[in-house]
Amino acid sequence: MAEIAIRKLNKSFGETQILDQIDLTVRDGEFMTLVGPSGCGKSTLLRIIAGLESQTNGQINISGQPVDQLRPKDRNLSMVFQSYALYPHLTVKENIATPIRMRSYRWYQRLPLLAQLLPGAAERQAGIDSKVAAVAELLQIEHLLDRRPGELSGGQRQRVALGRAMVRDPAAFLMDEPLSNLDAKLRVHMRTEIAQLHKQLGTTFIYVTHDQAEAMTMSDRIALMMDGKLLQVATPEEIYRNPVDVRVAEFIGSPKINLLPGEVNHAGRVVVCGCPLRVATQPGQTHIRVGVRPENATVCRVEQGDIQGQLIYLENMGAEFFAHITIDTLAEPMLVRCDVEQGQQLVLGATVGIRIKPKHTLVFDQQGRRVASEKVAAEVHHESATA
Amino acid sequence: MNRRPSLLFRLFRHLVLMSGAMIMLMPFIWMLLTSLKPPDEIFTSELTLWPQHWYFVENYTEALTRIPLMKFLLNGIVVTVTIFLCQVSIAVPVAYALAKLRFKGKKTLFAAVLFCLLIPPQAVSIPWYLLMYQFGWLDSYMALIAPFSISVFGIFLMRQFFMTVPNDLIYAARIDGFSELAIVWKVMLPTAMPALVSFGIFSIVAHWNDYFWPLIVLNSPDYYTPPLGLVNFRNDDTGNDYGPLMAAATIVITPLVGAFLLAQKRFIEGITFSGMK
Repeated sequence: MAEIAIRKLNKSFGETQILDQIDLTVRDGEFMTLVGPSGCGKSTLLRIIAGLESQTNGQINISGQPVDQLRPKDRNLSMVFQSYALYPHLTVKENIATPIRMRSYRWYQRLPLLAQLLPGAAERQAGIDSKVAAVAELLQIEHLLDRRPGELSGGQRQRVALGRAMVRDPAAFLMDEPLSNLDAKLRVHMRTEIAQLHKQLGTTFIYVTHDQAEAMTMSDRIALMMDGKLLQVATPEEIYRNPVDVRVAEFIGSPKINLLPGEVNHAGRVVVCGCPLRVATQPGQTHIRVGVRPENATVCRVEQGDIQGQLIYLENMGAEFFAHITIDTLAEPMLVRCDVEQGQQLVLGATVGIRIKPKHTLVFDQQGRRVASEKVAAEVHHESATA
Repeated sequence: MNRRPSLLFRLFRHLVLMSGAMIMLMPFIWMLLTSLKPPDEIFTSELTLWPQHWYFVENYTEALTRIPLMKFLLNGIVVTVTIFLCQVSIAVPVAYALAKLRFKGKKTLFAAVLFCLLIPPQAVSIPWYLLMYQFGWLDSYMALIAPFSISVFGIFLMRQFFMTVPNDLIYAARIDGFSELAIVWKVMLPTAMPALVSFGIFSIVAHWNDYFWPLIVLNSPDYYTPPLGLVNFRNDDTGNDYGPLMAAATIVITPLVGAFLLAQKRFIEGITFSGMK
């Protein structure tokens, strides 16, 4: 149980700045996901929190106590690694027991042979055994306790790694891409399991991933990092609907958001490919980008659409279709979601209209920052011919 | 994809390999057979493979009684085992530091290790001899052990193996509360068993069979290692006594062959798979 507060944290290797002024507070019991493309510094940040690497400057507090001078083992955190990092020469049981043995035993109580002769040895062993058994039961790995990591499948190793992290009630769990070595199906399954585990334990989790789907499905809040900077910290809902930066909008969401180059006319209307949309923002901006998620646009007849284009490909996902529509002046086709009935009626090569939901349209300025926009009232739409 | 080669080719292939193996084994077989023959058969002009009269008991009794062979074997064990333990206790922590820790001058230090690999042992034998003389260690176990207590080859081999151990394993150990020394001995060493076994064979074979250095530093037969002991059979006034000599040689190599067979599986793993996780 702990709040983890990171203040003005910097990390650089020589000239290269890996982390740039990171400020982040992880609340007690929160599932916080650090997400970003590979090389954005998220794993480095996690290792600095764990004490495995040192920051160039800045401060980390755990439960209000500064931990910058503490060694990893004194920070009372536990960590799950991408490669599981189980001790290959120990059995599953010994692997899980290791953190308690190393922490709660004095060195002479860990000596081989002699340790068993010391007073209280049997009770200590029984204490460990019962803790290991409880963890094994929770993770359903009781039948694996006597095997070695080499004899386990990826998913089983992952559970053992979780067990080793859980066994001693740490202040927080740090997880470094724990699912990325698993196959797709198991990954989706383990996502749910880890999320449930978080609910059961109620401990603070910091979870690092490059997979936005993991971040969206598991977290209480997401911290999105890029190029060593923290771009946005928000709930999955908020970060999806209200990204503060075009890079956030691009990174979150699958399939990717459509980004259309545009401009703002003198009346403050957003214009894409020469067609004014029903979206208004601050006038006087050129070179804006308009973000439209595939589900916030619909395919319609040409005369009803805000813009028009040619349908070049239909992606059938089973429960929905994604229409790829090329628009004359744009390099990339625009992706629009349609439901099954509509998707089946669409004809490849046809010219179709695209109607964009103004309420969910995101406008970004030249620097990629989000700017406020609003829906233009319906009556203005009819007068727009003059605009 | 690959068709099974024809029977003729397979036969041919095996014949080639077997004759190669025979060439390699011939001296050993000859040694074994000679140790079973009486002197007159050894010195006959025609070559006979199989002894006509068994002389096993006589040769081996002679080998064990003429010189204190058991004592020499014991010396050999004391020396090689101590050397190996010293080498491991230095090579493993050094290799860990070179492979996994970050410190200033690491590259220079590793370059120095590589450089030391290039120095032939004979080149430094005179300085070592003088050093041993200064320390007053000549003609003792210390003189046999001290020059080999640090193995640069061992450092290099273990370092290369440790490079393949994922960093996450060390991070996990640090979080679990291992001290750096505990990581070296309780995490790194057990994962490096194949490399350690191959290094052990290299080291033990080299020092068990070493003739050059013991010959230089030893005077009294009390500290003779097995290869030095064997010479007793040659320098006798009676001339070369091949039967007992071969018997003694057989006895001397037996522990090595036994150790190799025991460690064989791991030894070969260590050489070929040391780069793989």
